[in-house]
Amino acid sequence: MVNRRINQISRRSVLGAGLFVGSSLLLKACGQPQSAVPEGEESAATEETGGGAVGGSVIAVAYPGAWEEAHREVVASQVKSSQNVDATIVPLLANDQVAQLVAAPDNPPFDVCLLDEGPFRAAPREEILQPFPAELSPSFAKLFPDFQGGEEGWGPTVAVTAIGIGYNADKYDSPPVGWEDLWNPENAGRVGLVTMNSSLGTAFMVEVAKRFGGSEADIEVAFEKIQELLPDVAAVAPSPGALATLLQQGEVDIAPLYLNDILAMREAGLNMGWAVPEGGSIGIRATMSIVKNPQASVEAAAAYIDTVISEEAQNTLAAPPYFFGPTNSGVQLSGPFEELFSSSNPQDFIAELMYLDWDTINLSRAEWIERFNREVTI
Amino acid sequence: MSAKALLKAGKGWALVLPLTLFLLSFYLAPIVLMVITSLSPGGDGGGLSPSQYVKFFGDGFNLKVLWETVWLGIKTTLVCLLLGYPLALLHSRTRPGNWRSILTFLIVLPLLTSAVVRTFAWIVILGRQGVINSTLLSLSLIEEPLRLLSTHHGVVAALSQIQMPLMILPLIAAMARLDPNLESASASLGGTSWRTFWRITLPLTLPGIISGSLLVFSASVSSFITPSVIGGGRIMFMPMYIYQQAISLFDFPFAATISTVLLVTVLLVVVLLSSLGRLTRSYTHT
Amino acid sequence: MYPFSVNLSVGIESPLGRGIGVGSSARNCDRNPPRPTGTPPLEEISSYELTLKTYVLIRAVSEVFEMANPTLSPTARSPQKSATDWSRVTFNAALRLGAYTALLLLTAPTIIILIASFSSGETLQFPPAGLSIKWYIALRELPELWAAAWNSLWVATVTTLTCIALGFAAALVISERRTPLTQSLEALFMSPLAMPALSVGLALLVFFNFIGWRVSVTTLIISHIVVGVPYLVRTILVSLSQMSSSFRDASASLGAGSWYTFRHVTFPLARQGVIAGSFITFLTSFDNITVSLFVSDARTQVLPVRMWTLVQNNLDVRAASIAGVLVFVTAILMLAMERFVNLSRFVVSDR
Repeated sequence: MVNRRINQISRRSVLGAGLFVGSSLLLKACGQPQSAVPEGEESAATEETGGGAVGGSVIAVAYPGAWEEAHREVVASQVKSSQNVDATIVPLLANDQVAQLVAAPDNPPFDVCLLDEGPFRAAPREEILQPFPAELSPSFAKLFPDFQGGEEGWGPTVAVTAIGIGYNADKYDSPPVGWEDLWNPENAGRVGLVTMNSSLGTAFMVEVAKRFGGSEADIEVAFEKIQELLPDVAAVAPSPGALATLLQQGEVDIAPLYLNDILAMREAGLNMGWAVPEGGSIGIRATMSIVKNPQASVEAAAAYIDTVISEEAQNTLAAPPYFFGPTNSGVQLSGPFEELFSSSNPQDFIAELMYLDWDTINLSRAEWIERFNREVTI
Repeated sequence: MSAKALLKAGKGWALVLPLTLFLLSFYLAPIVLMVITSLSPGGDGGGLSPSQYVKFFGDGFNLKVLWETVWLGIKTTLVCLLLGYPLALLHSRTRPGNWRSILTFLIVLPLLTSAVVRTFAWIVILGRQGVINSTLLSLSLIEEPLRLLSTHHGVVAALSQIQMPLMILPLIAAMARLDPNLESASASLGGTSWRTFWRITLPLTLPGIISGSLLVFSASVSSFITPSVIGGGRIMFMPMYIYQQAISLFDFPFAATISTVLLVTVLLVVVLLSSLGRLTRSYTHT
Repeated sequence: MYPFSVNLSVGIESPLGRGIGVGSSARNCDRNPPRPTGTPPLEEISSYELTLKTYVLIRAVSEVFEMANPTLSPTARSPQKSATDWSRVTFNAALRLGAYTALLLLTAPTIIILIASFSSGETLQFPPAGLSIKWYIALRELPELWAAAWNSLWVATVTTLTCIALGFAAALVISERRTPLTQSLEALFMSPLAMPALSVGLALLVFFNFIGWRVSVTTLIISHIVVGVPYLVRTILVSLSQMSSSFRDASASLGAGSWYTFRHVTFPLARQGVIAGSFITFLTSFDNITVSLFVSDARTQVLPVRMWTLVQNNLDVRAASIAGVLVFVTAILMLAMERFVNLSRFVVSDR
């Protein structure tokens, strides 16, 4: 009986306290909706920065999938140990990053963005980015000159990835030869695609157009060929990472894919192949920039980007299981990467790739994305 | 009525104010603003115009998405009803005890498990190397794995599992209110089991069927996670369309338009079904 | 007072008849004996449509609680005995076929995901190549996931507590007077349930942009309150409707102050509704994705959104092990709730 009463009382007081805490927290929260300070800024301001370490925290974007994984495992831990910067990695596609930055240029939801060439060149850079403070980045000078961001200086190119034909090697006797192979009757119901919202999807469509007589300015023929292919398409992924997942799960057997995704799967023991299509593999250069009005300190953001382009991180990122094409001149290719391009010099790999004219593509890209979404859905 | 009582009454009303004000400012105002946004002409023009709606309804693609969404709701509701009704009947005919408790637990469990988790499970089931395909392959019923993910059927199957509790629970409630004497009377008058079911049980549980259908339908047409994960990039429904327009393309006026159309569609069905429900209730209760 | 407890149970059993129709039926709840099942319930049609979802969830929770107390459930009716005939055999066969198919459909996914999460292989497959808990251990290396889980927990807690405060106050007023005004207020409080959640999310995002608030934990909590408060208002109304206002009148006439009456009469009686509603509101907030997608950003990412990205882009066994953790946590939470509410029910009936 006594026990029960104690139970009753304590329960009541707990609930009473809950009511009180709940309402006061609400009042507190509502009182300062504009000035709610995120944890990052607070610690950036208060944390002791001793021993030359930058300190603070930074929110950086990486593409969902392999990029996110690699930057979290390699870059975040390295920037923590060398500069005492706490990095949080947020998975977002390039177009979504630009959209979020344009929507709230005064309150960017992240401090460091990662953009492929297409979205980068299409973005209103003056409004959302700030020039990269190269003087804060010791590794910047070691980048190949092409990758130092040019005269505008919005930020360094952090990786080059190659687009080719990824396929499930268990199911093919011989590797595919060119993009045309996707239309082979034997591939009916096995082809995977990705929406044009990603660089992978757009580059694939442009390349298909070029193979069939189109160009960066006119991919009408690619849309026609895709209509032809649609009955054979097993899935259309919303992002390159999701497409790699579909291949891994056996949902699709052949798809345009990034080299690093395929090599990572091979590293995990899956029998996957990647073929350089006739006409060459397409290179995609990704740059990192500090956004305008970041909540992290510019020093912390610069330290993060500097870590991404550092020789140490790029060596790890170019090696198993990540295989990102390096942009730092001190990096050597190794393993399957080296075999595939028969050179350990990253410059040979970079030179091997073809690059698209993104300025021309960007003129009609939005229109193409919308058209693609319509024509491949339902 | 003394002054004291009036004062007390006033004090009482004060309690309802916080929530009222909260919902007026953070719920009604946003909805109204969204409808106004959907009436903005887009671009830099000011004023109100129905141009977004003209754009929406003037385009076959949008109408197709709307219809596919409604059709998805209908299919899911039918599957839930067809499978949920027998289970509800079995539940109501089971004596209270362990077995019934277990039944209840199994019915309620999906309702309380995270939506992402439930959807994720379906990837494992429907995949080319998934449970269904490997079973069919090992039984030699098929030679090639079937494509189940990224199809409408896959979405319907997953949604049905996820929404089925919403159908079963109102059915169980309706069956609990059924007078058992009616069924026994029918049986003693020589009615066969099927006859009793068609003539007595089914008509009297119509209100439950309607409540369940209403819940399943409105939950299905507004669900986002399951269609986007199971359907992939090839299948488009209204909620994903809203998300795409708002988050990826930042076309707020058009997103607001799609959103308003979805909202009106759901409310129309709710009103239609619930007035039907009222009708059947007045019928079954006389 | 044992019958009262039974009455309470019946009320929650069939809220369509008694619970949802808070109106006039609540007033004479104690004067009339419980109506036999099957008679027309008194209903408030106006709020009926909007409250269906709450009703289902209340019902779900009460069903779970009921498990520990099976004697409180209404007597089940076994099929009436009649000569074994063809019709009966086929009917029962059809019934069982449908019911077991439905059961399989309902339970298989959860079981499959649990088994798959213990795979020792590198890729997600069923049946798994071997068993191990390595993917659960691998979860430790996903700091973002833990941060998101913490965000979710925090948001859900604050949301629930605020909803209790706002919802209890409002429910008190509504349950005491039935005027057209309170009825339309109730409809307002319930209506977020009938709206497509994605529409509400978009509306809130447009609204916050419009008034210049940036997306933050605050906007996230505000949005969760909007979609979560109906559950609490509803459960509290249901439990208050079980209590006659004559209790309060009696308490008042015995000279008790209104605060005393609230603490010693109203609140204890509404406790079950508060607990059940909190449970639902908490889970709703913790699992919400459609509203969170719009009103949270990279800095305030919540667990379901995070898991959604993970499932889409890194479909591996870790996603299954997170799912496993969530299923376990939910099950434990359900058991805890059952124990908790059962206890309080015992206290109520003992008075």
